[in-house]
Amino acid sequence: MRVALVSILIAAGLSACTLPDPASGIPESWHLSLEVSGGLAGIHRQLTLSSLGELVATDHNTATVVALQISAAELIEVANLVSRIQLAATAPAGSLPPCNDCFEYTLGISLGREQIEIVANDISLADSPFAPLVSKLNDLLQKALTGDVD
Amino acid sequence: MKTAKQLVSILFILSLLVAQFPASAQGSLPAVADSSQLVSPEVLEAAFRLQDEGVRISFHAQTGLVSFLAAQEGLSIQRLPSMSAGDSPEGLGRGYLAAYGSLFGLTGNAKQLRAMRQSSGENGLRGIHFQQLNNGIPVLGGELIVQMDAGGNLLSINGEILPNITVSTTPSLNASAAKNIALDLAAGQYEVAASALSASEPELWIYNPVLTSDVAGKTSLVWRTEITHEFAPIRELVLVDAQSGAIVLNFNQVDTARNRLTYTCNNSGTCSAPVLVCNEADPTCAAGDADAKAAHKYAGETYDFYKAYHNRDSINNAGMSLISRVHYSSGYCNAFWNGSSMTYGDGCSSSIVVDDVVAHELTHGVTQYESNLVYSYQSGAINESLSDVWGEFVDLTNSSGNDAAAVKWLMGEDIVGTGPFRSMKNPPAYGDPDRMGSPLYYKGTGDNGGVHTNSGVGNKAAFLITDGGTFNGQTIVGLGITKTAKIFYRVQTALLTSSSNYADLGNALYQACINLVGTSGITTANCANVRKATIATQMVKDSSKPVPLKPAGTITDKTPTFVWTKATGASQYQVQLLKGTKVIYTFIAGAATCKGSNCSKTPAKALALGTYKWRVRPAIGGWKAWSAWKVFKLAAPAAGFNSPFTSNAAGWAKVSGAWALKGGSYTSNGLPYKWASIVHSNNYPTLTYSVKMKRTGSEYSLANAVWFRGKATPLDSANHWHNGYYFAYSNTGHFLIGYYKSGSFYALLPWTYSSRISQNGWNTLKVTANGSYVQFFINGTRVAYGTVSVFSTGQVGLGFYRNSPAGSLAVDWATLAMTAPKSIAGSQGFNFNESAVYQGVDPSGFTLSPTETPVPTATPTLTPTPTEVVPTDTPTAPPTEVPSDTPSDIPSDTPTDTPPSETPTEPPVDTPTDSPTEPPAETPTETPTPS
Repeated sequence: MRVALVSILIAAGLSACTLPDPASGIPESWHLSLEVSGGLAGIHRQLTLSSLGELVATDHNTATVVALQISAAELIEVANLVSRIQLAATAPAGSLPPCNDCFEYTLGISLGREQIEIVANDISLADSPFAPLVSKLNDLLQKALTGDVD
Repeated sequence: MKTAKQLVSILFILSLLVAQFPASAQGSLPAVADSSQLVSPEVLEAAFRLQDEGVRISFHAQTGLVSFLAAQEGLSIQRLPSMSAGDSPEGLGRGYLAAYGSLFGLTGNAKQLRAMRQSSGENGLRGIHFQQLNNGIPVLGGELIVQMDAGGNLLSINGEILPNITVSTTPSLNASAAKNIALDLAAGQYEVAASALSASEPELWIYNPVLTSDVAGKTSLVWRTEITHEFAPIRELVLVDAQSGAIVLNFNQVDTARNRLTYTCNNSGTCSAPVLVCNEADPTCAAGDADAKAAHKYAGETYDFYKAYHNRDSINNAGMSLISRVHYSSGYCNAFWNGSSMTYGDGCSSSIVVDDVVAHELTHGVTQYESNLVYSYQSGAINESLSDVWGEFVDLTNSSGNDAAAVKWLMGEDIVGTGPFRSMKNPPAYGDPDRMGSPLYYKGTGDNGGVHTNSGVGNKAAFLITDGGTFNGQTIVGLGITKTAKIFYRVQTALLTSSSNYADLGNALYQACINLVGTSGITTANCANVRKATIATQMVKDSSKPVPLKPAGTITDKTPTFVWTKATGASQYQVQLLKGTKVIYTFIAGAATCKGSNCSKTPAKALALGTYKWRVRPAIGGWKAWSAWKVFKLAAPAAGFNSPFTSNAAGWAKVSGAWALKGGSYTSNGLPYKWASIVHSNNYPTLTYSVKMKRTGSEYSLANAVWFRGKATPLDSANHWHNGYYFAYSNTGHFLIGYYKSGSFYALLPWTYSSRISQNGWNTLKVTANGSYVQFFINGTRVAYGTVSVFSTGQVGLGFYRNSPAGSLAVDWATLAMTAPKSIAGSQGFNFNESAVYQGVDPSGFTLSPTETPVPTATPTLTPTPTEVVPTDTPTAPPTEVPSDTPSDIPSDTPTDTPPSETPTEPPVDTPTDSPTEPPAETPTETPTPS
């Protein structure tokens, strides 16, 4: 199986960028993962993103792995979305509403010692408070795999 | 016009009728005849005489009364002398019914009929429509229509009358109660909230099924109401017995022909307020944009396909509306079926609303109403495959889109720039399996267990059955779309269950074909080809051919046992073994060597090391063809290892993270929020595996672990091995035992405190495993033991989990011997039970968080608290370093075999120490393990 490892390092000037202040409620350190599978075409993609902006995108169907550093603007946008997550208030996931050909999303969030995993599909995600974060990460995932990154 | 003779005759017959029913001569209508007597002989005679005179007459099949009376074509029956051309249609109609009504069963007065409406047509044609009444209450289906020409002459009378009504017309049930009964009925029937329905004001009617069906029944007083829904095509007529409250009749008056409702979500992600773009009244969806037009069109074509090929009336075979929703969400490149509608995004490079996709989604609805295949793993893959099959069949028969040979059997080929995404003819072209044994067969959990990948098996079978071809040793003559569609439809609607797997599908396809022999041109020869397709795709086995199973791969047994599948009808088998081109031996095995589905035999001749191939053939009335070759390699047994990590890490491979030799240790700084691990190259079923390691950094609670009987690939998102047993400790002084299977973690013992752990110091983890018996040691003390059965062999490895702060793991040495105690002695340490796994345990690190408190699914032998001292592992208990001359039933910490072949420069020591430079050693101070 051909494995394409593409490393894209973008000078994001992180040392110069100002990350959100923990005192503002935005966590200082976090780690996110998103797995997207299913859909009519049966995709299987994965993303991990750290609070340092290190992103790894994987397309299991094409055996493609892309590692890159996201821009400071993107990182701040994600950090802001993370800051809105209320882990403690998150209800445990129930069974997903039935849907053929929906995408299924598994979102993993690590905030310090706190960790949570949310599983959703297109229908359940629509009304979920995690929808903006999933949407953003999915966008980053697609852009990373298509080389369309800022 | 009638001749004078005919007119005279008819007038004569009329005089007979009038004479029989004197009241009619006075303008009253005749009474209803007794239905048990059907119609009196006199009336029948009069009717027959009219027929003789050229009047056309038909009789009601159930009542026996006349239901149709008409003049000959092009003629009319002259109006009676009492009538004039200027009379009203109602007056004329009542006049004719006074004369002829007895033939239809009328016996009463004029109040038995109520004029409902008049009609007029070309050339002055007039009609009057009467409703039958009984005590002023209308009779359902009791209607008569009188048609007259411009001169008032009679053209025809038709309709039915319910005779001999004796039912009470005083209801016991009030209208409100009847309405609620009807609403409840419809809500349940259509699975909608009663609040979404509305009911017309109930009216009293008289009902007897004899007028509206072929069934005779009793006459009832009923409340009649219509239930409607704001959106759904529901106009349910409900008759509630006005005495008992029972439902007497209900049916949906909406035409059950295709009923398309196409909406737009206007790019809303929830689509909570879709806007109707077009319905069946707008068949081309002229009011819609391209996506709405396409959704409307292809939904109709799919309906038409099911109707034409299978006489199926929509998704539920009961006229269900075809609801399509376009422009779902924003930037959404997908389509799905949510249980009631087809939904399409518009985020692809071109429209995803193409024929095969629409038929694919609609078919998910059909499957939901038929087999209702569970949408995961094999049943989900079949669910997907059926959608692909019908998607492609619609695509190939609707004359829309691109159907060129090059794109035949491709899914989504009309989605320019995005599609196609699957090939039914050649699934591997898109990474999908074309047979059950394909290396592309997905065994993970993603995509509901690979439903969109493993559909390739069913798709390949559908292609082979339709078009034929040679595949996987089978040559199939194709049946064409029509026959294949019949077979698949039979499978889908009659033979599959919600949990069917591919073996079931294989059997169902053949059985469906057999059931259909003689219909649609299907023959037994066709069915033989269907069977071949299911064998080729490995849904079912060819029971007439044995398949060699073992030995295979790399083995170490010099007198291997040969195992092959049993062939139906075989009296004996011949097995042939070759090394290169030289036949080593051939042996015969009788059918008695078979048990269950397999046969086996172990020749006594010892084999030399090398590569061999073997095959088998059955005797079924003579020797049949040989099977394919099976290759195996006989190798020397793998040795254990001794890795001091002083100058190299031979035999080890990095799984994740960066690892380097540093200061006499194999060290890694790990990965943030992930595991870093290494794996040794060989598989070890029996082992005594020891690792001395030290974790540095501030993340005291996080796991440092060894794996055994595992597999380093695949990894989960945190780089943890998907499969294998797992033994971990943390610098908080806790340890954990469990296993990963298919990416899920099962704790055999939750995080448990042990004073034997040197917090922030060097620790030696040791595992022994022999068959089902396993033991776990920390720094020489057994902390747990038990029996396991999930994995019997596999790789060993080690690693650690990190969060954000810096930290590292140094591994001083690792050793493995391929021996271990065959049983477990003593009771030191926890005795875990594999059937009692703990839930909610975080394998990445010890925590006291309530959400991670272990909860056993069954009561284990011991139920330790997650935070405190192991009773048998208290500091006061004697350590395992018992005097060497003292027999003991306490298992030792020493492998019983010889030291590993790779002797380190300095022998490792199996004791906690802060010195990373001490190499491993087989210390003589511990008692040999009794075995």
